Amino acid sequence: MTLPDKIAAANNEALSRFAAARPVWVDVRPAIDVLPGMTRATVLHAGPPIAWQDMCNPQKMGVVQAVLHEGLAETEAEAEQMILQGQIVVAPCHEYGAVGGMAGITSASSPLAVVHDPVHNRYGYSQLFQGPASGLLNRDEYNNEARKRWRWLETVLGPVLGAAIRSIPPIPVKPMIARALEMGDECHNRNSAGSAVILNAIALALYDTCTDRALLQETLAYLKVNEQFSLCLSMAAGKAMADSIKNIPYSTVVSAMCRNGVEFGIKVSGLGEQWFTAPANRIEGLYFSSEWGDADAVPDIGDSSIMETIGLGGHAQAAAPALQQFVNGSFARAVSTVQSMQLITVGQLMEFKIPTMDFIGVPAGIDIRKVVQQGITPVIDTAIAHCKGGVIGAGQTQAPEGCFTAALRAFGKAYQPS
Amino acid sequence: MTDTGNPLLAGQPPCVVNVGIDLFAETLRQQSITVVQVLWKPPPPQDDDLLNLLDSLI
Repeated sequence: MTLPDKIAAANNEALSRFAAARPVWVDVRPAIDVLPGMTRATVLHAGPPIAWQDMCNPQKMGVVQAVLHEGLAETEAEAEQMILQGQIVVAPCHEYGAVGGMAGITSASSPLAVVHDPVHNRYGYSQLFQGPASGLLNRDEYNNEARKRWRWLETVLGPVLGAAIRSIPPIPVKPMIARALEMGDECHNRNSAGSAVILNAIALALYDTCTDRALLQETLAYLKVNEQFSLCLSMAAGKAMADSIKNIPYSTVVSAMCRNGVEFGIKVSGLGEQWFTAPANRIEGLYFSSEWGDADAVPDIGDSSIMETIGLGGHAQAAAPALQQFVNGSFARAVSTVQSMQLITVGQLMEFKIPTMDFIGVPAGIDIRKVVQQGITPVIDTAIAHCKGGVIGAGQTQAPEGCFTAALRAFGKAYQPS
Repeated sequence: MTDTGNPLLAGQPPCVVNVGIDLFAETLRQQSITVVQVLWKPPPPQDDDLLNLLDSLI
């Protein structure tokens, strides 16, 4: 077997694992209870590894707030000292089996959606969204509001959702995603349909298990306004699926793709746990208010690009023509984007069909060889974070080429006969 | 339409194909001109080592 033959076989295996996975939503639990290796003094963040002092402002601020929130320090100054002295473990969500949207701040008490793929026995975990918190550009006000919401997620939403989910059979995530694609989501920037599907699936269980009407009302009110809710489940499922293709010898398929607002990082199946990074790109998009502009925005940030890693979001843009308004685009442009992604992926994932393109499967399994050969990098649909915290817009960006060329060189060193 | 003397523009409204930077296409669209936008960017500079490596892996 030649080297290209071995790579092709390994890549087909990766795509077949994506197809075989059956991720189901089984629970909502605090991070400390479910994440292997999690401690009270650990704070996780989105993106590839980065020292606290090098983080972008919202992420740096979020780590400090998490230390205060967990009661590990009394003041910001004390929290910063503890972080700098190494008393707080600061690490990527990805290295603990989890993913986090935007800054991705996850601490011991954070309630996480728990998704399990019994086929490959992989778990994926995602934080729950704190909800919109933009428009609070006073730093202290923003931090107070964010921590108030964290407390509510821990004391109300997490326990209420967890009890409801544990009372019913696990909820299959892939059929929810497939249905959402039929209903106009691309399952990264648009999750309106998926969130409605999920609300339908859990409404009775919430009614049956939450006897406190005030808490039930608060939970339903959150689910009503948070049209991105299903993304938490899709991301947890995406993480379980992506982890199932880790460490396939000879595979050139991307097994993780994430950003921390400073760098974009990828992992490659055949290269194990090694990160390859390049500076994160800025985002082309629309701001939710005219008061914000490019100068307010942080470069690409968050673990939500796990969706593109499994062939959704930017790879399935034509399923959600409404999103083109964010980039002043067109349906033709969305189709062209999907066709470009076909050039850099192993094949189609037929469970996830794009109805507007004659039901083709989404282009999945990003092949670093094809990215470098074509000079085309994955398109990422994403939200835009404010440099002082909060989500202020949405749009699209592209992965930087540098991480793919670095990964390809490393692959050559690892697998080419010397 | 004004007769410009240019046979390409005589009689029929122009239909433009714009390659690359879409600001040009957008400006024409604002003037009600039909534009077909082709997404294109200049290829990155060639790296021979990388191309040789690619040849051995594909």
